[in-house]
Order: sequence, then structure tokens, then C-alpha cells
Amino acid sequence: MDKLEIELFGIKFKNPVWVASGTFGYGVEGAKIYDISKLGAVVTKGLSLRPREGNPMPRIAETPCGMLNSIGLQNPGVEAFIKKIYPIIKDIDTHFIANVFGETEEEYMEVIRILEDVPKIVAYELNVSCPNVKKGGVVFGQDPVVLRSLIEKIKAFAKKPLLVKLSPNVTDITEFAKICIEAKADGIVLINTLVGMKIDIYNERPFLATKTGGLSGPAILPIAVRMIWQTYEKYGKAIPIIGVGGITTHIDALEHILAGASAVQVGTANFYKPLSPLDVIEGIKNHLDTKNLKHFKELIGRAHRLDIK
Amino acid sequence: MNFSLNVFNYYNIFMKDLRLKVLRNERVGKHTYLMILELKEHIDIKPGHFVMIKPNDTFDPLNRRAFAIADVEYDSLYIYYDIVGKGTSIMSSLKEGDSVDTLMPLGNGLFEPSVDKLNIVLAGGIGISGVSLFCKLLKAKNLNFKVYYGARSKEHIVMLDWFEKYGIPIEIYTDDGSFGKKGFVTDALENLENANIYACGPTPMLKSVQAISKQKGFDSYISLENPMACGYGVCLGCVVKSKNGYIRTCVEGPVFKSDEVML
Repeated sequence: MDKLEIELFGIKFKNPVWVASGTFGYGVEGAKIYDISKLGAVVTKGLSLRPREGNPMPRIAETPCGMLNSIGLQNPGVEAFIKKIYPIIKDIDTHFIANVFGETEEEYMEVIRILEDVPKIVAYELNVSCPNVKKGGVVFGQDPVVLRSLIEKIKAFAKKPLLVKLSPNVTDITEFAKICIEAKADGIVLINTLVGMKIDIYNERPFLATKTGGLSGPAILPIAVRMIWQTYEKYGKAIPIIGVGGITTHIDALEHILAGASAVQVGTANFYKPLSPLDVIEGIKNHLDTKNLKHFKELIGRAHRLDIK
Repeated sequence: MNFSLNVFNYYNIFMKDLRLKVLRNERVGKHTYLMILELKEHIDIKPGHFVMIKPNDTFDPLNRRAFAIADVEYDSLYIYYDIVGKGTSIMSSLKEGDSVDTLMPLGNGLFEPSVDKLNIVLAGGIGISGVSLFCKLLKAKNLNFKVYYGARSKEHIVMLDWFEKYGIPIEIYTDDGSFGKKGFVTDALENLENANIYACGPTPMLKSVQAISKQKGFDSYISLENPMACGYGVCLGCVVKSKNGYIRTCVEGPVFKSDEVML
């Protein structure tokens, strides 16, 4: 068996290195740079029921060791995705996970209903943590009652596994992880971007058109690792954690895994280092060889071992 | 490689992520540098294509920066750049033998010359490096064309040696009249009829090209230079407003028909 192969929520992934939603489109562009079938999975840009135009410009700003974005979930809508984009990617030999977004419970459910019959989509990643839209998104992810209701309603009919991507912009991430477990979600994805802001000192106003945006990149790595750590400590046995936030190299990915992630997503690094996911895969393999380990699973949550009494 | 045929056919080009050696990096204008990179393999670069460059391996600045490809010659790639911030400032400190990470060729909206009409090429500031390769093509195809270049003042003018080398005549405008004609490069469009316009430069200049083209009924093409995070279509940070909503400068552009986009 391959050292990196892993089965999660009943699906076999060739490796635990995925690409994160909103940093890889729908795979079409990345496939022009390298063989994306080498990836464990591609998580799509957020899909909504109707097309979304997205936010006005400027939408991005660089910050120390990171960047702010406020794209506003620009996407062609789930129907156009199926008609125009899906035929291009359907033969690529890796899994696709649909990041799903809605302004209302009904919209979330409708997008998932439509995607139930799309064979290449193996799971859903519930976007309840986008900080850049007025309705939906983080509104669901920061309210325990609303989040529970949404997950339960989707789990009542959805045949494919449901992952929930949580917002780090909360006081206690484990409270939300608990809700995901109780509502029978299949996995949790930690973390989405942190709300941040940049001021244009010459024009003396916020740099981004929406004033605030989501901070991503290497700057957020230690926050992601901390939140994975806290969640794994409490619920590591109850639900698989997918780590995302600040991963550029295999070293970053291994930090996520040792803190408790069963798989990781490379995000912003796709912008500044497009081949980063391949380097992460190779780097983890080499690390296993160096440490003489048979499978990367031995490393999941391993940094906790000295705390276990 | 395990691509599906569909992916091959979606767009014609493929992009390469290459670490390239700096052959030369020198100041050629008041704020402008020329960087020549060593190309060890053939890359099919067409007028309008651009390249993303990251000058170092640190995370600050984080993202690569977009640059026009001014010229490709045998094994050399020519990039002219103004120092505008942290990224370009670091870039200017690189020495011969250093290397940079690049991604190219990028862009699908490219410059396509007219074979029957007069081709008017307009460049503003560093935009001259966004049209030079196109001028080379027009010359090679022996098409009917004229090149106009506007700069702030004499000390900001670059690439004249390059145009001389290729025997391409160029008419210059400066804001202060310190070189060539005094005025804006768009003044060249005043007495013109029945031509195709190809422009690259700052947004106010491109807006002016849009307005004149609409009034005179020119077919115009403008090359945009929005800041980009990825350069290859996945971040959606460089979009421009069009009749069909926001479209990506990096993939659908960087060259657009002037009436297609709202600046």
C-alpha cells in the first residue's frame, strides 16, 4: 500500500495533499501547469445556486507574509459549472470536492441536490466561513444554532460525505467542531481566512473595496496549527480534521498533520508557488523515509502523544 | 502525462513554472530597470503574453509580480520594469547569476495585427515594453504601422536603443516637452481615420483611447496591467468589469477589445 494513501469518510484518496477552495479555480488552470491527477483532491471554488458577480475592485492586498482577499465568491453558478466546466475536468484522475455556498438554507440544499448526480464530485465542503459576503457564509458559521440546523438538514438527504469548513473568527473553535460532530458531519476543515484590514496611507482610506478581507498565507500557519491542535485534543477520535492555512512546504503540512489533520489543503501557495502541492507530496514522502515510517497515518496527531496521561 | 484531451483543447497554451538565471539587471531610466533572463528551452511567446516573477524565496513580498515580455531573443527574455514597491525594489537589487521564479507564457487575449488597415501602436510609460514584441511582429510581417510613445519627461524614456536596433521608427511625446513633441501620446490619434489602435499604458491613457475610439469608430485593443496574485486565473483578484460581469485580466486578457471592458 502506498505510504500516502488514506481512506476518509469512505473515500480513498491517493494522498492527503489537496488544493484549497478559491485558490485553484475548478482545476482547469492548474492542469495547464502540471499533472493535477497527482493531487489527493481538488476542492472547487465556491459554487452557489445562481451566478455571483463577486465584489468590486480592489479585491486583493498584500500584507506581511500574507494577503487579504475579498473576492466575494464570484462563480458561474452550479448549473454553468456542470454544463461548461465539468466536461473539461471529468476525466482527470483525481477526486473533486465541491465547495458549496448559499445565502439561505434552501440555497445550500439546492446546490447539493444538483451535485448529487455529478459522479466526479465525491464530497461537499460546506462554506459557512466566507467572511466577504453580506448574506450567508460566515453568518451560518458563527451561529451555533443556525449551523446545526443547516448540517442536519443536508445530512438528512445528501448521499455524499459532508465536510464543514469552519471560521477561525470565533472565540472557541471547538464549540463549532462539537456541533459538526453532533449534527453528523463527516469531517471538518480548519481553517478559513481570518478577517483583516489594510489602510491605503496615501489615499487615507481602506485599501479593499469591501474595507475588510480574509487573511491567508504563511502568516496564518500557527493559528491553523493551534486550532487543529485544540480540536484534535477534544474530538480527534470523533471526526477527521482536514488542515488548511499557511501551507507552502511539507514542513508546514507535517505541522498540520502532527497537530491532528488527516489531510491538508494547500491554498494561497498556489498563487506564489504553483508547484507547491507537488513539493509537499514529495517532501512528506521523503520525511517518512528519513524517519523510517511505514505510513503517514502514524503521524496524525502524533504531537499530542506526550500529553496523553 | 495524464491530462484529458479536453484540458488540452480548452486553451492552446501551456504554462511553465521555471527558475531562470539573471543574465543582466541594470538601470536604464529614471525609475526603470532592464532584466535579462536566461531561457534554456523554447517557449512560444506571442505579443501580449506576460510573465509572473518572484525575485526571492521569502514570504515578504508574498506573490509573484506580473511583467510584460518586452522581447525574446535566442536564449534571452527581456523584462523592463519600473520600481513601484517592495517587490520591484528587491528585483532591482538582483545581480548577474542570481535566479528568479517565473511562470509563463500567460494571457490569452493577445495583440492581433490588422493586415489591411493602418496599425497604430500607442505606449505610455513602461507600457512601451508591453507593445515592443508586437512592433517586432508588425515589422517582420511587413505590415503598415506607426508607433507612438509617451513619457513624463526625457529621463523617463527607455527602449529607444531597442527600437533603433530593429529599425522601427518611433515618435515620442513628453508631458513637459523635454523630448519629442510636448503633449500626450493620444494626441497622435487626432487627425487619424480608419486605423486599428493597440495601446498599453496607464489607466487614464487607456480611458482616453477608449473614448477617442468610440467617437471615431476605431477598432482598438488595450492591454491592462491590474495587480495580480496568481497570474493564471485562479485567484480572481485582477478582474475587470465587462458587459458579461467581471472577467479576468490574466486569462481573458491582458489585451481586450477596448469596448469590451469598463475601466
